[in-house]
Amino acid sequence: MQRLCIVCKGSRLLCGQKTCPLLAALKQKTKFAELRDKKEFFGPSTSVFVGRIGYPRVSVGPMTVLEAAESDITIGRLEDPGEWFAHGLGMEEIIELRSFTLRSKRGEDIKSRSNFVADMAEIALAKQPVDVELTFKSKPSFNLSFSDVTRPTGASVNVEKMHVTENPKIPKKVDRIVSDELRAVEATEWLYDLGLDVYKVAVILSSGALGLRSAKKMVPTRWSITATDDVIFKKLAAQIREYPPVDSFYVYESSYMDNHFQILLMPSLFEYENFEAWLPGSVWNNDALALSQRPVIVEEHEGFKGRKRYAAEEGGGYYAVRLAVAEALHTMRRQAGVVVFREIYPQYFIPLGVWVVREAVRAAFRNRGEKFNTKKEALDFIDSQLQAKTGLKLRIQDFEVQSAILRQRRLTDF
Amino acid sequence: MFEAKIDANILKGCIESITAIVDEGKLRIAEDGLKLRAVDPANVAMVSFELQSDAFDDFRFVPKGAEPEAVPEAEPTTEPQVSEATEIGMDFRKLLDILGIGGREEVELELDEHAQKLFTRMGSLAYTISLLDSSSLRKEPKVPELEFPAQVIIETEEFRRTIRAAEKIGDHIALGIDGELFYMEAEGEMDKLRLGLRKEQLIHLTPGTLHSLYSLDYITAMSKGMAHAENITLNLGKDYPLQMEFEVAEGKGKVTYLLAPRIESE
Repeated sequence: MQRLCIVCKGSRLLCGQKTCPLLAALKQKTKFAELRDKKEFFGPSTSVFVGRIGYPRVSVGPMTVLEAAESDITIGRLEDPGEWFAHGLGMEEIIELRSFTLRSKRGEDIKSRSNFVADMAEIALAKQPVDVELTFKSKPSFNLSFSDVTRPTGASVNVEKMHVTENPKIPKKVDRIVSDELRAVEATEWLYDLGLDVYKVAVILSSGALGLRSAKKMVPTRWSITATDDVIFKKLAAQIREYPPVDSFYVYESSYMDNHFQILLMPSLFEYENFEAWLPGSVWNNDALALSQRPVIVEEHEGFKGRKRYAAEEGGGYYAVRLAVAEALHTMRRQAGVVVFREIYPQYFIPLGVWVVREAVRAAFRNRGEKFNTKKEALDFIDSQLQAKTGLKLRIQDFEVQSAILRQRRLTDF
Repeated sequence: MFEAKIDANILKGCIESITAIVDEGKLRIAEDGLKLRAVDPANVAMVSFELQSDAFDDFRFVPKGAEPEAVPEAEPTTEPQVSEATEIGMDFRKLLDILGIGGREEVELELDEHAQKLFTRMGSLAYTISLLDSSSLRKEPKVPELEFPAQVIIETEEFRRTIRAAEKIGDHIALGIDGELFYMEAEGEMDKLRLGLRKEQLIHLTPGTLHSLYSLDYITAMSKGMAHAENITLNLGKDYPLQMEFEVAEGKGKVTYLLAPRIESE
């Protein structure tokens, strides 16, 4: 993103978009200017953010909505990627939406039990946005920030104090889980079982509300998202490993914001492989100056027993996709050998967070899958659906050569 | 009825050769000893394991139904079913953990088939393992009918050292024979590793030309399972499964691994 954007500054549309997605968000800057000279702020807090830099002493604080006057719909939507997907919001709209957010920051140890941290936990647990009063320590700065894992944030400010001006509404069942002497992993599972989506569970986990009384601590937002994906996956996987395998080969497909997914299920015990094919110009393969550009394909996989090492080649995306796959298998009451083929096109050039892939894969399984009798037929179909059409057409063979699962023969083949 | 005593270290080595492939399985107990055959969940690797009864310091097995007290006199109509072996569902990981705690002593085993428990005792430490329901375990696999054109016998340490080095380079390894040379080759994005051993550097070699590729994940696990064996016998083919045989329990037991190859990329 940066290199291109620095050259273009929204004026020349070098990225090939019709309008500059950043400019839409930068419009907020004018509204934001009114805040500039204020020392105090009053408005609804929708979530909390825990930084990771300087761990274990990190910047933490509530996320508030910059423009309190903005409609309730905006506020309600701010933290709900499922909703963004359902309404088909595009990159520009999401960046604009998230540019309403003000991230407040105060240095705290992750094990801190200060009132500030206690208030944060309440905000995280609350069902609805909670009104807060903030006293600024510095001038707010408008600095849209993007990450491959977390959702974009708008402005940020150092805060001195926070005063919660209303009683946060915490659902009774949530309160009971949090008050119980449960380990963070168990509490995370229970919250998900209650029907909270992973987005909310991750916020609660990051807020420091979970864990044995003696071990409660905040978790950096970025880590809490992948940790939640991992914990919930492991819980579902334990059940999935007992289910019968799917009866045939299936391919599920979906597309969102220039991320195209094809998911292959094969009749075998559970194993999982995730491919990411970054086409030239997409977020992590965007050296605009290199002319000999090739798609970059990365691969991570795990066997029936699961993995021990972090999937460093793919990071949070690996875990987000894996969770969505597990949710689908669990609903089908089936297990399968799973290979995910993700193509990322140049139009996806600003990272918006792993929710993008999680929601896209969830959506793929809401569609009807295509059924095939043989692996070859399924792979031929996937090949025909690969969308990279330019001179750099991807073929299924490009994935197969890197595949641990597709290239491994079975003893039953002999 | 099954009761036995065995050196804890010997048993540990045996169980490690099994857990290299599977965590649990059906262990067959018969008069001549213990047997197991199991495949990993992905159907890629198989282990066949045999431990003779004379590997034990003490080994007593009476088949179910053959025990006099097991014949219920009140129901004379039921024919006592005498089977020659007993099958138990075993969590080998758990057994290994327990042996790890016990140390080098002798371990006593006693099966309570009725209660589906295995009692283990090491010195003053007693541990009862609940058996797994056999019906929940996967069926014993069929051994594919294979004919191997070539055989290599190599010192285990040489083989294991090469595997350890290859792990640092890539995720697969090639095993092959080129004339009178046996080689193992791993290639990563940057580095390459090759072990080449001529016939006279090996214990045995069938000359030929062949080559197969295998996943290092599996071979690494297997190479840990063979740590106690002095030599291993490799049976090889072209794009063909790899069979590895070695002895355990000072020659009174035998383990055979079978590993499906990977498809070569061209």
